Amino acid sequence: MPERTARVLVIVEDEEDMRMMIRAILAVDRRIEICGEAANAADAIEAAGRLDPGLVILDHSIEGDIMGLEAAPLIKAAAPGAKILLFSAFDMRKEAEAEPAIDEFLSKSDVRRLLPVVQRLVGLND
Amino acid sequence: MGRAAEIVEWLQLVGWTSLAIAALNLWRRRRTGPSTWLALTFGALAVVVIGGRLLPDVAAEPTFPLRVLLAVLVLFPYLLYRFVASMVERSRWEWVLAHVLTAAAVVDVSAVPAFPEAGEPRSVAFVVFLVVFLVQWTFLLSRAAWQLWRAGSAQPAVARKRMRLMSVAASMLALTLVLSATGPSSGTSSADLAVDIIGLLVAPLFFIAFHPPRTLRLVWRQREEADLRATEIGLVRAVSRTEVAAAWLPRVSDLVGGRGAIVFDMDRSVLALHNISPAEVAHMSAGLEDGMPRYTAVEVGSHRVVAMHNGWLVVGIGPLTPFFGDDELRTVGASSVVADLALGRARLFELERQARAAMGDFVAIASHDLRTPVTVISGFTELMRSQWDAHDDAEKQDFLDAIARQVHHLDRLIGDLLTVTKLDVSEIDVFPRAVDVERTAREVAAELEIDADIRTEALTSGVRVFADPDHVARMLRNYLSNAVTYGGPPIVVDISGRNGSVVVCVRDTGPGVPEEFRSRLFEKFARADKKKSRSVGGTGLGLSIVRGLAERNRGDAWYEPERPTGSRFCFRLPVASSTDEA
Repeated sequence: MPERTARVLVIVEDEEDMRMMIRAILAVDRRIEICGEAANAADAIEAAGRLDPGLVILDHSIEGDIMGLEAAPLIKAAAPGAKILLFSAFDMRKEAEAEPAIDEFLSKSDVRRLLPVVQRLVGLND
Repeated sequence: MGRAAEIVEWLQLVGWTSLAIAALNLWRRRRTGPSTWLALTFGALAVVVIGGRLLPDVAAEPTFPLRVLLAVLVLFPYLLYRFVASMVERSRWEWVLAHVLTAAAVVDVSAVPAFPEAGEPRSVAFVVFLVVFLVQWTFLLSRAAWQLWRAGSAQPAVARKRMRLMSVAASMLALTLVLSATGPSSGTSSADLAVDIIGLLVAPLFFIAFHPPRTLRLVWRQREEADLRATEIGLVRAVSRTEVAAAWLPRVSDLVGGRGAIVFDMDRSVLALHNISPAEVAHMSAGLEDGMPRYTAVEVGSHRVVAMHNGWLVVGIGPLTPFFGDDELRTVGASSVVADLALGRARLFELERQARAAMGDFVAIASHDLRTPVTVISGFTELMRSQWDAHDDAEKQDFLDAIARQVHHLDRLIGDLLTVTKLDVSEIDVFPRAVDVERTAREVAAELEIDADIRTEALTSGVRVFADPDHVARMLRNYLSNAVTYGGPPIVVDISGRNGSVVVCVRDTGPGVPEEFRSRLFEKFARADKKKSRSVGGTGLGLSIVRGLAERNRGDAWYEPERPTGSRFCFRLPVASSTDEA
């Protein structure tokens, strides 16, 4: 039986070391493919529309005038099939719950849970 | 009866003369249009009453002095009409008619025939004289009485009662004249006495209307005073300056019968409006001047301005207020003391709320900026612990380099956070001494390996500021490194003297700071270009620290856009005296 994979995953994060860390953590599960990265909302919307990922990991504090929370519905509109994980150092649980485009919130202080949460959201946690 | 009439006449003499003296005193204190006309009005009547006592009984043929007295008597209602007209609008036809009737009456006086003896029938000429006289008096007095009564309805209690008393007095005066003129020519002494007594009451009525005793004013103003006190008590509970101003304005405006009122903040922005159109605001703010006496209603055109410590009250007053509402204007001045205290208290509440909000924002951003490097360090550390064999040496080296970068950034951030916190609570130590700012600028530029052109202007080389040398170096370090990171060459450091201070400006020819960001430049965590800031490990606290250090060293820091393009970041420090040690 062919192994299930989560093909597309876009990381929207403007801190380069943070993007490297996320890539390295997710690389532990070879079924996860990171197919794009962006540092601002405009690039994220373009990449999401072009790549149609299964999941977008989205930081709130990103470059440009549009922050992550405001970009979420725009990304969802560009890639309706993608789930959005808001991954931020701000405590934005309430804001994430109030935004229908965001499927889950994870605090950066909880980085140990990043891989299992991603696996669950893309359906790889069996 | 004759004795009673004599007493009444003397009382009238005293009454009208006192009234004339009081009106004259008012005119001497306050030389306005209404007070001038009022002084002339009662002065004329006093002249008539005194002259009437001095002249012998009316002879068959009126003498010249008697004609003069009659002419003054004719002028009395005209002067009272002019007093009212100086405050209340009148129609053109009425104005013309008033002058025509008065002129006719004066001419009539010059041709007045012999006065009939008691019991003697009145001649046609005398009747004509009486009719002209009566028409002129009753028209002018009744118009004055009507306008006073009607205008009083829109006034606050004291002004309204004063105006209506004056209206009643004018009406009674007209009545006494009509009764005197139309009574039987034989005239019974009792009828004359009755008219004299009515006339006697007029003088005190005018007096009370013109100068009511304080006790009476307080009684009249009881309800308005109670409303004002209740409002002032409510001001104590207000937690914002707009709330204070909005609650207070209608009361003070109503108290003086004003058209409307505004409370301006200390920076001349509007805190609250009451019945004032936005178009009038600029006009009303033009009269505000620093140094105005506080808690006193100062006349500025058709407004009264009350200066307070925490702003200004401007009341647009009507034409009647300066004469009838002077006591109320003093009450407004007293009330402004309470309002000023409430405004000051509300300002403190606002500052406290702003400080709490700013602290909340600061804590949120600081938490975020601290958590980010910790997350990276934690993530990579845990990754290497659990997946050591899964990564090759090159990858592990990348992870360790990232950890090292984030540790360094965290170290700088913690240091800057501690510095800004100490600055906020004024706990940063300052060790001022004479500092050669030109030499310091050269040393910092060399340390950062920046090619900066350092120029001094209007100063001899080696000029010194009196400040902490570490702080001066830090300020220069921040400005110069910002010029390299965000600006563009050439980078110039201008050092000049200005009003007992040394001003240091670092300018570049880069893109400059966007206008919408300039007001926030020196705030904590303000970053116009986040990407560039991150690329050089910026914490977003540098400029906030520069301003804090400048202020702790009795100076200041600011930004100016450079023309045609670029930035100019400046700070000012006090000049060191010749006795200050280096």
